[in-house]
Amino acid sequence: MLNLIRQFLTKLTEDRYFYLKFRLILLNTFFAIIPLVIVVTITYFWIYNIVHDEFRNNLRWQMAETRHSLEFFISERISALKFIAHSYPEDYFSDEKKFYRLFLDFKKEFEGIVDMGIVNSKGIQILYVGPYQLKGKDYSQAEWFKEMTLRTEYVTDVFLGYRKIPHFSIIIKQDLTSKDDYRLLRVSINMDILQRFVSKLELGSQDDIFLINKDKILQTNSKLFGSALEPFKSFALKIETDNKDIKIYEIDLNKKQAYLAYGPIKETNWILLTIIGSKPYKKIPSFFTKEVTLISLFSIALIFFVITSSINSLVNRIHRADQEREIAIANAEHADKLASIGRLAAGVAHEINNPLAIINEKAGLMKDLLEYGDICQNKDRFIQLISAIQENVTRCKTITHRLLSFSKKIDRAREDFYINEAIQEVIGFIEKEIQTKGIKIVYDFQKNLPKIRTDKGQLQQVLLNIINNAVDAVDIGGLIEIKTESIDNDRIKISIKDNGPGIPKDRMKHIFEPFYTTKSKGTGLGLYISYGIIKKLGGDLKVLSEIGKGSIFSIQIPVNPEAEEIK
Amino acid sequence: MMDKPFAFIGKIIADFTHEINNHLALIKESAGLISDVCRGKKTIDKKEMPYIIESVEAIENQINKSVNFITYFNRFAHRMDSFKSTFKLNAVVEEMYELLKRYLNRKKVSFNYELPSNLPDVDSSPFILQFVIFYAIDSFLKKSQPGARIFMTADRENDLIKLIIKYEGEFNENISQDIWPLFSVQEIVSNTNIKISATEKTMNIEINL
Amino acid sequence: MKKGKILIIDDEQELVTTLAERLNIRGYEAHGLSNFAGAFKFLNDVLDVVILDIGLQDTDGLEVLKRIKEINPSIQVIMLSGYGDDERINKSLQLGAFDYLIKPVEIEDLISKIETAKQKKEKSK
Repeated sequence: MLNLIRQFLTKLTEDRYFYLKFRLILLNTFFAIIPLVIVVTITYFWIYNIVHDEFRNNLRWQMAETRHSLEFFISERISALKFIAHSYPEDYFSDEKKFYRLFLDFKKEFEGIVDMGIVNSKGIQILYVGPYQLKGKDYSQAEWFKEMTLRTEYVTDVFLGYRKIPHFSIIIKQDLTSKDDYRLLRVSINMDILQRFVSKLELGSQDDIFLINKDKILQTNSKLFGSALEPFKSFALKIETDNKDIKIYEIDLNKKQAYLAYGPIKETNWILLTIIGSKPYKKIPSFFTKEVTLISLFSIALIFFVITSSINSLVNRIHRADQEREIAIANAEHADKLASIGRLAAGVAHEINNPLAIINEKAGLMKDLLEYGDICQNKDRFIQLISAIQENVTRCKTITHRLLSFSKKIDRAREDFYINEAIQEVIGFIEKEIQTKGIKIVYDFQKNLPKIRTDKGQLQQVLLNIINNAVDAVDIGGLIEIKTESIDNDRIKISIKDNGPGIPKDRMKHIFEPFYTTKSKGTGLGLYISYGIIKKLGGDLKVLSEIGKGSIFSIQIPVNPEAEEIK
Repeated sequence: MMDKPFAFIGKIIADFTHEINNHLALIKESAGLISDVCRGKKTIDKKEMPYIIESVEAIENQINKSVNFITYFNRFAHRMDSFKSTFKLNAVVEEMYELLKRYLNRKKVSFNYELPSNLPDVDSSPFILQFVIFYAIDSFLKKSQPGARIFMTADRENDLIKLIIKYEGEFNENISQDIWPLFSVQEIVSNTNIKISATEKTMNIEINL
Repeated sequence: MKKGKILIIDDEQELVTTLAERLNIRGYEAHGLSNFAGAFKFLNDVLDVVILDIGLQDTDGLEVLKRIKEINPSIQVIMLSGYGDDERINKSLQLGAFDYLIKPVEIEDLISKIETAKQKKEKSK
């Protein structure tokens, strides 16, 4: 894996076209994906809000429903009790038998009633019907009894009371006409009823619904917060009891998002409270995200594919064009070289014509003499002519000899020479320009360098090119340092240092490319060809440059390229 | 990539100079003969006249041959003047025939060509075409056995001129020189309108008009 | 009466003398020169044909051709050179050379050229 990354990185740094592809694909894909991402994000939040609103409305509605049925349950019983208290004859509230019948009637009509009692103004239960023995019990210290001094009706919180079963009571005050006295009609209803009411709400396993009172004591059992009558201690939520509306909050339940909804219940101290942790609203967004993610991924893949293939073909086309251009350059070079070889060969061959013409004429003259003259007298002339022929044959031979050695040199134009001398020769070509610009050339030549065997002409062409560049780079009166040294026994290094402006970093990597030039004039072929030549000669051409300080071109060249090749 | 064409030029020039040297040797011999006849005598004997005339004519003959040969060589050398030009295929083939004669003789392989006279002028790289023809003949000659024959014919097919170079005879199993692989030559011609393909004993050169 | 007056200018001294001798044998009045400097005294003379080499030691043959044509346009110049490239041939013919022959040349061919050159000279008179 690491190896793959390394390979990729080397390719990225070395293969310019690969780098170009990579950059273009990345950039294009990025900008093509941005609008998609924006649309998806907006849509997501939009749908998120819709789904949450929907959920909230639904929750509110269900809460209202439940609360309504609870309120109806309570108020129905209060009204019924009030009716009983005001319309039934007095003996029903003093005669135990009649009170019992009243209880039975009431119980028949209204479910959930456990018992019924009458408590006098001193707090003593004077009449009682129900499963417990609570007649005569003193309630003067009970909370509800105290409350009833001020109220006409009251629904108590859930409490245990004497019977030790969670229940609540509905109490109606009955003013007695005779004296300024009253009695209280009390019915008890078990908490189970309430439990049944709240359980009507459709709930998931992580949801909870229960009642609390204003002191945050649980009135029904809660899944998450304990049983009835335990304090509800979870949220630092401030519950507003005055407001009749149903409130919905987003809360953090055990680090999970949840909804909390509550609403007070009329005529009681209770507050209906729901906590929805099951996130039913998630279902739709997750469905949405799945589809959208799929479509998005598909789109991104498509975008990526289209961009990659188009950029691939584009860059490949550029690459091909570059290659064709390089081939054209190479062809031009070869054509040039061929033409010069042709000219040379033809030139040398033509030269043979001159001595051949002489031989021809001499032989012709001999024939003439034989035809027209007296042979006996011409003997000496004959000898003269023959020796002239022989001389010219020798002349021809020197020419053919030259041609032969030329043919051997065509593909291997190698010669042995001293690099220091070759550099001096190059400087000789441009001495005039150096003088007019007032450039100082400092030579730091290592003495006793071995002769090198390579294509001198080509090496000099490269040196001329680089020194010319240096001359162009430096200001008037600039400095160029030329250094030669042997690196090891096989290689010689030539460095050409100038104090010109230097080459900016972004240009550095392109300077060996065809047609790259920093000069206003010139084709830019120079360094590209130079690099090619040095590589061909088995060497290496490198450049170091620092802005404001100058550049150093260094050429490493094998002393004997053939020996290198064998290695 | 261009080392093979350069080697080809080298070979042509070398063969040319050897041939010229042969001519010169013959001239020298003839001149030497005349010189021998004349030297050491006060006058030239009438009986020796035919020798002298024969030798002088041999010199002239040889000169003519050389001049002829040089003309072909010059034409070949000037083919390199421009990479692309319009030329007659017959002229190019004739040059190659003349310049490779010596090489063929040395290998004792005969070479015949028969080109239709109505071939149109070709617009291509004459040098590369000569190189390809040379390659075809050279690759046969490098493994040829004495007595083999090479035939060259040409055909025009629509916009193509097809040169077919056929080898007739057995190949030598022990090849002392390496034969350039076809693909390297195909690479060299890749950016021209010349194509080359080969079977065991035939080379097909196609020139797109 | 000689067949015609001919001047041969070529820096190959041996060629010049041999060719002149051969032309003389064939009845022409031929003079040979190995440089252009000595040519002036002949140019104003009744000269029919100049046989001129392109590569002379002291001057370029083409330059000589131009000078000859300036001094006496009726003189026909036959170029005789070892170089056979089109460029030189065309240049010579442009400058008014009668013909361009490549060395070596058969004496019969040369004589037939000289004769046609002479005819041209007669016509141009």
